[in-house]
Order: sequence, then structure tokens, then C-alpha cells
Amino acid sequence: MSLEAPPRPDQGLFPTDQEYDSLLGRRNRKAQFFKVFCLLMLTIAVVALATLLYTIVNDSFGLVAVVNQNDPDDVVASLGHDPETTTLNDLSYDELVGLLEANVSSGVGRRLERDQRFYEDRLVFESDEVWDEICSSNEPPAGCTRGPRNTADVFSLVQERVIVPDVIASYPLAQSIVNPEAFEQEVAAGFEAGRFGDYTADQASIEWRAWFNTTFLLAPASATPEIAGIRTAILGSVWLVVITVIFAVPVGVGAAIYLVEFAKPSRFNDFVQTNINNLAGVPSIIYGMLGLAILVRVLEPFTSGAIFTTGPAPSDNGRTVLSAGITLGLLTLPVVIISSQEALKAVPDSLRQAGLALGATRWQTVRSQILPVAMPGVLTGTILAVARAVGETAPLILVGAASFITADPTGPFSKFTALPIQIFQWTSFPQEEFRNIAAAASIALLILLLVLNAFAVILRNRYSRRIP
Amino acid sequence: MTSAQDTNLHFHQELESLEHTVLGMVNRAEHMVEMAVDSVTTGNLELADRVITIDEDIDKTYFEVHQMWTTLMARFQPLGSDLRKMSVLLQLNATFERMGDQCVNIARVTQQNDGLPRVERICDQIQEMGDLVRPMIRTSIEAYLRQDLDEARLLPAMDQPVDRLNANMFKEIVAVASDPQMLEWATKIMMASRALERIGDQAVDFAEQTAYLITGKRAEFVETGLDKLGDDPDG
Amino acid sequence: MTETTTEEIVTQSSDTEPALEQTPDDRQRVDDDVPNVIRTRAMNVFYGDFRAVADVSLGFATNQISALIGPSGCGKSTVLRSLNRMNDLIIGARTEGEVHYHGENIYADGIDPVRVRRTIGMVFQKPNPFPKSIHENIAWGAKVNGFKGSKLEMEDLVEQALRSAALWDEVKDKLGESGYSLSGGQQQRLCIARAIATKPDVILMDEPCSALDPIATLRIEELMLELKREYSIIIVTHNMQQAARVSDKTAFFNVKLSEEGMRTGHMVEYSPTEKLFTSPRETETEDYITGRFG
Repeated sequence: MSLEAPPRPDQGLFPTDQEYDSLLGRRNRKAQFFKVFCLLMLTIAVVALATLLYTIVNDSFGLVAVVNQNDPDDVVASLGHDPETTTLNDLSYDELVGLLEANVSSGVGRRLERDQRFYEDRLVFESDEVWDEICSSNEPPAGCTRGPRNTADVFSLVQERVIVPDVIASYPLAQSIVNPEAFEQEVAAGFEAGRFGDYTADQASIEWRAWFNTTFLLAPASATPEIAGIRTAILGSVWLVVITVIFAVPVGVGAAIYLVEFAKPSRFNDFVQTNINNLAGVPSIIYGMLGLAILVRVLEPFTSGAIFTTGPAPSDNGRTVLSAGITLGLLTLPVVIISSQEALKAVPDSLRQAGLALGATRWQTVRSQILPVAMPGVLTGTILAVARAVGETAPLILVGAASFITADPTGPFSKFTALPIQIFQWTSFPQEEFRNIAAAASIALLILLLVLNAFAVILRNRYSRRIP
Repeated sequence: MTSAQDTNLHFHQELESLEHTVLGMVNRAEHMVEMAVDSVTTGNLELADRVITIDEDIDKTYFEVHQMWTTLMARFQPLGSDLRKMSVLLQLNATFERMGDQCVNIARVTQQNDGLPRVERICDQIQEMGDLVRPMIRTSIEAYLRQDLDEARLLPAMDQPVDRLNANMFKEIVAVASDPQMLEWATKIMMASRALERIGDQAVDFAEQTAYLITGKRAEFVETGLDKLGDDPDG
Repeated sequence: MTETTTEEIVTQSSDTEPALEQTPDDRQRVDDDVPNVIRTRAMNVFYGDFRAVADVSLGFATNQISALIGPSGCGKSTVLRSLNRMNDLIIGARTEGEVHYHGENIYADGIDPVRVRRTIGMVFQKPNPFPKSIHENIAWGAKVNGFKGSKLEMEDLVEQALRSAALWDEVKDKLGESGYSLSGGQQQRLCIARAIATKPDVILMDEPCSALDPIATLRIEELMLELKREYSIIIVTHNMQQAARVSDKTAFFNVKLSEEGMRTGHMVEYSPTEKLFTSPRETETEDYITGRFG
């Protein structure tokens, strides 16, 4: 064969041509085997992830059998609109409040109003004198100080109190597409078997429901799964991200800069570095305990906002979004430090030498030459760390994320809830419908993570283009 | 000088080869002088032809050496003593080529003096000059090969008697002016004498180069200068 | 600052510490007829316990190019980096002895290395421009040192520096482009311009051409010969022919094996360049430049 080299002496140690050929065959087969094996491993991983996604999506959309106490079309018609063209969503704020007024008991109405008013300038359920009286008492209700409700909120109330939808059966997405008739039969069989209590078959309608929709995103939490939304949870998660970033980024990046650029090697610095590395692996629940013990309890004056005001504290205890945010900040701090350190170390030393050789101080060199180059790495690491923290549940439970809260967080001293908490809570309820909205909330969480990760990738690409 | 780990081995080997070639020319030059002097003092045309033939060879070697030298310089850019040796070898190449040419001049005198009567006295002096010049060439070779500065410094003194004999030649020619044929022969012999004197100078030049190679300093061997040995009261 | 003679320095230092013995060798290596901009005196550099270079006493003349040559490990780069205290940046590095810049010991207590580096600049082996625009590369050095001028004056400074580095014509239309958009040779000239912009006195060059092609190398050498009119240049090179081409004086360093087996660098010879490369004083030098070095 022309590929073979001309014969050389002392080839006894090497295979002959025939030996080589058969050896080559065996080598190639082995290589092929391992290639297939690794591909198989990849397939397993992909299948697992796909199954996860499938499960979530499957439960978030599908056919439902729903019984409305008051038909939305009737309600719309009662206000003088044509139900063909107008839906419940199109009603105005005043109309919605009017519906509440008409359908809700005064006791419930007063309670709602005391929690949060409907109008800035007038009261709906309460009389003015009583209102002034209770607002000037020692413990005024929240409605005295809070701003009025918004449309989404009132819509949700209308749904909850006036329409009162009740999903009696639901069907997963895949089967809804493939075999919708089976669901109808199931529902019919259910009615015959008397599984749906007092409801009769003609009250129920089968409709297509997307548990994950914009209403879901904008509605506040509720005990009724049909009308529950994750607005409060999303806002809570966003607040947490903001506080985490504000805490972890300056502290983490600053610490990384010190450790890489300024610290001289010493036993103490090695000790610090080892500890930071180890802290990155500490289970998040431990951080939760730290948060509970220190931030919620010991630092209560600070985290409840008491020391910032002379009047009543914004929060009556330390279980505020500030505590949780700082806890998550501490959780992500080691990771931020380590990834920032890596980004700084990746900057070639020649730039430092060049800067210092010009008679610049270390800080001048770091600030103007090193940090800008390291910034994409720092940012990427930070965003990824924060993205992970968004999904943490255990520490938030300990630090007191409320499992049921309808009020949006308004400041760092607010009570709060977060997406993972909400999901966790909903999955622990027995009704099937909670499983649907838990899946829908999972989609929301995944989308949030996707956005954060995409942001990281975009940033990295944008910066990498600039530095050749 | 060469350690067991000469990192410039190829160059040093080629330099040695170049040196060997140049010194080969010197050996031939010494032999040519002997033959040329014999030929002119005995009127031997055959010897004269042989001298001319050998010179053609020397000329060829001259060009080869020059080529080799240029290539080595371009390839290796030598420094230090290697650089000095290259510089010396270049000069020596030219010097020995000239020596060859001077021997040819002597051989041509033989040819031109063919048929003319020889003057015994003048022939003896020419022979003496030859006997003085040949050791000069040998000494200069020895001084170079042994890198011996003291030996190199002997040369200027050895050159003095040659110069004296050459200067004397004019008087000898005048002495035979009466006989036209002898005069003609003697006048031609003058060229041979001058040629021998030049060969002597070139041997001194060789020694100068050797001294430069050893010391790194260039110093013209002035006859009344550097050499404190060989104090000849008549010099 | 007036140059102090050898005797003056000896008496000065005797005020604060016992006078260092001045060997005849020291006198030889320090040219008193020519003013010295930098002069080292018994300089030893250690990395931890390892003595990298021993007992260097050298005087570098003003407005001349001095070259340091020698085999790898001989300490020539270490010596160069000690001249502007860049060696301080290496963990565990320690310099003993004195380095006098215009008579003032830059290793004395209380001397800020940042100040030293402003007047003794450095150009490195691999061109290392900042990942910024060409203009900013040059302006930054001036800015961090407290440039007080206006924007226009800064532009003038940048132009001046680029002209001095023989780069102006090639980049004058693209000052806003990244320093990385230039070729290797151009980048190195940019680094030279950057070093010049802080108005230094001395420029140290650590094998400035070893990463460049021959044409770029020659351009930089031409540049060096022009620059020496205004600056004093000290260059480390492993290319002997380069040292022979550009320098006025060359110092040859060699490695010596100590009894403990440590390889310490020391200076063998410091002579005018033409002498060192045609007929050096020391056999060690001769062996190195002819390649008979083991």
C-alpha cells in the first residue's frame, strides 16, 4: 500500500503490516463502541430533561370540565353588554366593583375594603365615619395606608366571589389533543357515578383551558385554584433577585478583586480562600438557618425596618423580603466570589505588567485595564449564580416566606412569597387543580431562568466580540 | 579551545576546512619559490613552466576560498576570535595568491632570459634571497599554526636582509653594464629580485595577521618598531 | 540632578552605613568619563532563598544603548527588571545592594516604586497593548500620572509619542481603533510610544523583538538608534547580532554553579560593543560568542 513508509531496520518492536491492520480494526471498533456509549448517555440525559418538560407542560394545558356558579356570559349580559362581543375581561373597573357590590355580602365587602380600598376618593362598603374611626385607632387596618386596588385584582375578586368557577375535572394536554372524546365520556361517567356532588351534568361545560396564561401571571394568589395567580410570587422573586444582586455583587466582586489583585500569599489568605471554596458547597438550608437565626431574629430591628422609622415598623417581625434577599445573597456570595476570581485570573498578566510599568498604582491598573476585560466573566458568573438562587426553596421556607399572601411586596420590609415556595405549597394540596397551577407556575419559573441565562449569554457574547 | 560541547560545531568544522585550504596554498607557495628561484638561476625552462601551471591551480583555489568564505559569513555571522580568523583568512587568501603571482613573475624572467649569459655573482645573490625568503614563509606558517606571538614577531627582522639584497641589486647591474647581453640579463633579474622582496613582505604580512588574530589589535610591524629582537646594527 | 562621581557616592553611603568596598573591577565597569543615568552597586537579587544574580555593579551611560546578553538563566532579565523595581511584583523577590538613578538609590526606604516606574519605563517581550483604542493606549499612562493639560494638549502628546515611535503615519487616521488591530511590529511600536508618553528618562526593553519578524525587528532597531538621542536605553536580548548592531556597550552575563548546586547569574564582562564582539577580554565571553559555550 502506498501509505506505508519504506521499511526501516529494527522493526521487531513494532507490528508488521498485517498485525497493524488487524490492530487498527480493533482500535476503530473500540472507538466506535465508546462513541455510541457516550451518545447513549447523552440520550438518557436528554430524555430525562424532555420528560421533565413534558410533564410540566402536559399539566399546564388541557380540557377541563368547569361549573360556574354564575355564568360569565350572563353576568356580562346583566350589565347590558352583548356576550357575543364582550367578555368578562373587557369590563371596566367600575363595572367590576359594581358586580362585587351587588353580589358580595356586606361583611365580606367590608373586610375586603379594610384590607385594601377600591377607590382613593370614596368607600364602597364602609361608611365614612366608621372608616375615619378605625383608621385613627391604635391599630389601623392595612387599607388605611395602602393604595387602592387595581383592575386585575378586582377582576380576580369578581371571579372568586361572583363567577365562582369550579373545575371538577381536568385532562392532560397530550390526551386532550389526541383523544378529547374520552374526557367527555369520563365526565359523563363521573356524573352518573355521582362523583361531582351536587352538580348536574347540564351545569358543566367542557372547555379548553390554558392554566398558564396572562391572567395567571397577573392575578394574585387565591385559595381557589381556578382563579389563583402568581403575581405576588413573581414580584416576590423579582424583589429577591434585586436584593440578592445588590448585596452579593459589590461584596463578592470586591472580595474577588482584593483576593486576586491585592492580597499577598499567606497562610491566612489560603485559609480564607479554602473557606470560600467550601462555603460554595454548603447546603442551602444551612444558609436558611443562618438567615433565620441572625437576620430574622437577632437583626430584627434592622430587617423589619423598625430602626428606620420612628412610627410603627413597616413589618412586625424580621420575616421580610430583605432578610430573604440577604440570605440568598449570602448563599450566592461564594459562587460570585469564585467566578469573579476566575474571570480576573483569566486576564493575562501582561496587561498588569504593562499598566504598572507606566507608573500606575495597582488600583488604577485594576480599575482601568483589568476589570473591564474581566467584566463579561464576572457578569456571567454572577447572573448564573443568581439564576440558581431564584430557584432556592429551603432557605426561603426557613426565613419565612409566606405560603399564602395576596398583597404585593411594596418595599424591602414587606412580607413576601416566591415562585418556588408557591409551587411547593400548591403541590402539597390534595385537589387536582392545584397540580395544574403548580405546573403552570413551574413554566413561569423556567421562563424566568431562561431569561436570566439568555441575558448572561448575550452579555458574554457582546463583550467577547470587543476583546479579540 | 573546542570544548566537548561545541554548540557551533558545524561552523567550526567548516572554518577548519577553510583554514586548511588556505594553508595548503601557503605550502605550495613555499615550494613554488624554491622552483622559481632554481629556474631563474639555472635557466631551467621546464621548472618555469611548472611554476606557471601551479599558479593556475592557486588562482582557482583563490576563487574557491573566496566563495567558501562569503558563504560562511552569510550563514554564520561569526563573532570574536572566529570573526578575527575569518578576517585573517580573507587577507591570507589574497596574500598567497599574490605570492603565486610573484613566483610566476620570476618564472617569466627565466623565459625571457633564455639564451642569455648568466652572471654567477647575481645568481648567488638571488639564490641567497630565495634561501632567506623560504624560511620566512615557513616561520610565518609555524607562528600561525602554533599561534605563537613571539615567533610572529621574528618576521620583520628576517625581512631586513632580503630588503638589503634587493636594494643592492642595482649596484650589481651597473657592475655588468659593459656587456650588453649581461646587462639585459641582469636588468630582467631585477624583476626577480623585486618579486622575491615582495614575497618577503607578504610573509611579514602573514605574521601581522597572525599577531592580530592572537591579540585582537592591529599593529603594523614597522621594521624599526614592534620587534625588539633581532637588533641588526646594519638594519 | 548632577551626576555624582564614584568617590562621592562612596562617601555619601558611608554616612549611613559602612562604605562598600570598591574593587578595581567596579571602577572599570563604571565609565566615569561618560555620565551614568543608572548605576548599580553590588546588586544581588533573590527569589526566596535562591540567589538569581550576584554582585552586579554596572553603570549605564546617558543617551546610549546598553545591551545585556547571555545564556538563559543568567539573570539578565532579572537585572533589567530590578532597574525599575518591576521585580518587586514577584512574590518572594528581594533585592540587596543599591541601584542609583541619577545618584539616588531607588531601593532606599521610603522610595515609592510607582514613582520610579514613571521615569524608568519598560517595553516587554511580547507586545502588550491595552484592549483599548490606540489613542487611549497612549493617553492612559499620562492620565494616571496626573496629566493636567486640555484635551487638545493630550492629542498633541499622543501625536508626539506616535511620531517618536515612527508609528504616526500608519495610524493617524485610525486613532480610535483598537490597539489589537495592528500588526505585531506596529503593536510593539505602540507599546514604545505608550512608554514614551509618560516622558521617561530611561527605557528598559526586555527582548523587544523576539516575537517579531525580521523586518519589524529592523524597524524597531532603527527606532532605538533614533530614540537614544533623547532617552537612555537598556536592552536585554538573546540575539547577539542585534546587540552588536544597536548597542554602544554590552554586558555579558553567565551562569555559575555554586557549591550547593544553585545556578546564579553573574556579570562576566562589560565592554564597548565593538570590542566585546571582535576581541573580548574574558575567555568566557569569547566562548559564548563563538558558540563554543557548553
